[in-house]
Amino acid sequence: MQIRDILILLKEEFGKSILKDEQLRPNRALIRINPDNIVDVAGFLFTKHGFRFIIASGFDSKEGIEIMYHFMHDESGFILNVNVVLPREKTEIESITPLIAGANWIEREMMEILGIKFINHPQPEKLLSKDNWDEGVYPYRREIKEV
Amino acid sequence: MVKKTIIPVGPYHPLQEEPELFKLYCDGEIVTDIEWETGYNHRGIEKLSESKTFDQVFFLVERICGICSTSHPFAFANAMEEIGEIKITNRAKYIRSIIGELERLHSHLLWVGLAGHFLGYNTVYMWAWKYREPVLDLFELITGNRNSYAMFLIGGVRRDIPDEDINKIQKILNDLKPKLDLIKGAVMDDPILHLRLKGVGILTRQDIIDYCAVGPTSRASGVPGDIRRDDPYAAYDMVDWDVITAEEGDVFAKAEVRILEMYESVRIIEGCLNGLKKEKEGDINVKVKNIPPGFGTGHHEAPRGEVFHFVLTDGSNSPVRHKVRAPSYTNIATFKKSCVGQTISDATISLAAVDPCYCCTERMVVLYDANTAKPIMNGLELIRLCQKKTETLKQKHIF
Repeated sequence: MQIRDILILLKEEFGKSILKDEQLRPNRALIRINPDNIVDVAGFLFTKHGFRFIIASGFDSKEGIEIMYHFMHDESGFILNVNVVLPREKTEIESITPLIAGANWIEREMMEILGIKFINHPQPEKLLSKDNWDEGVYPYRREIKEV
Repeated sequence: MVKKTIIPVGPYHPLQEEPELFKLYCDGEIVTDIEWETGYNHRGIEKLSESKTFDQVFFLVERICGICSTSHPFAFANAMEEIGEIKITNRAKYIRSIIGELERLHSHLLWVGLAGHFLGYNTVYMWAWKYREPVLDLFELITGNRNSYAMFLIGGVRRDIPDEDINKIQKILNDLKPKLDLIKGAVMDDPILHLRLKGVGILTRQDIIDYCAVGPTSRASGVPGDIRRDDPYAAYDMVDWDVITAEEGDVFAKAEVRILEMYESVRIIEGCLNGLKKEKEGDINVKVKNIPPGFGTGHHEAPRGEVFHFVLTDGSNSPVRHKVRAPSYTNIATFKKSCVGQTISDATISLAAVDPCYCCTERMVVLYDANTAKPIMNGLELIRLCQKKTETLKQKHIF
């Protein structure tokens, strides 16, 4: 499979939910999707097309709280980055853990470092900070310069 | 009410070299569920990285893990070179691959030794750690350090391998090969290890896919992913080597994959040494002016699997966001599959079989008074205490 092929397939399947698609380099691509479609897109890539979920990187940008889900197609050697932007006033997104067990820890980590709520996460507990961290303080938000 | 027996392993346990807590829920001798608690050593490296310049980040990420201390700089360099669209010289590519493979050799030898120790097979432990020493000597010869090599920078490497050293390195490798045969024989031909490890801690192909496991853990279950071949970087597509896989998914298969991989590492290093002879000495880095705004995703096949770095830049000289995913982050989660249904005695080697590295997985230490919950010592005070103690020792022993 070529990187172009998967971008075409994604546009055919999800149409207007794909807000942006870009091939950045020969083996890297970026798509921005509507946050409501994350489970469908992750299922399409992971279950139907054999992509491996590497990890997701959460960060605070000018546009809001963003998550970059990194998927890799091992046989073809390319990485597809799936980006979603969550408005600051409603940092909620559907969890992909019921679909991909490997996403369990990273979603819990993003929950405690960035304050993103993952709906339907099977185990929504803190992963790293446990009980000794103040509620509502999210260290990877832009307002926090140094911890 | 159903009563459950919980066997705690950790947070401090003689079997483990780093702090973590495993709760084994048991019914008699059988483990029925397992839970893992971490965060005992969370150092906030990703956040710290945002306050460093790109050149400083290399030294920071090198300290994420003492064993894969070159894997993190490797993946970070790949990510940065992707953002800056920087092409490095062939000589730098060969040197990078040599360092990467030497690290795999020392790390796999370390694991074989530890696994032997966990099983009570201390001959393998002694041999593996003894023959790991020449590999560390090689590191000292090439980089000047036995650990934390400080070899990487954006656009190349910091030190060259002089042509006169190539034969010395080849000689140490030639001496190492019969030792690898010795260790291979001691593990793979030992009937007791066959009985002890076969059928223990099995991970199926589907478990690997579901938990997104990587590295020797996945290759031992017949999932042939290897970043060096799938998305080639450095000199991995310029030399001949093979990806080692096994189908069984048990602890024995993981040992087999790691032992046979050591031979491939030697092959890669030899190929790179031959390649070095054809390249001009001293041509080890390219000048990098600035890093444009954007993001980069760099990865490297570390001894334990894929190390992944995501770096977001804004045109300044430090990262805006730096995400690090160490291989143990995905591999440790497979415990749910490999340990449940096994006996307690099998759980320990199943835990050790993924070669877990907790330092990588969690990345400030504050001491709290247990009664008042107030901090009693911060990092700086701890350093001062160490300096004071060193001073006392110096006076006592008149250095």
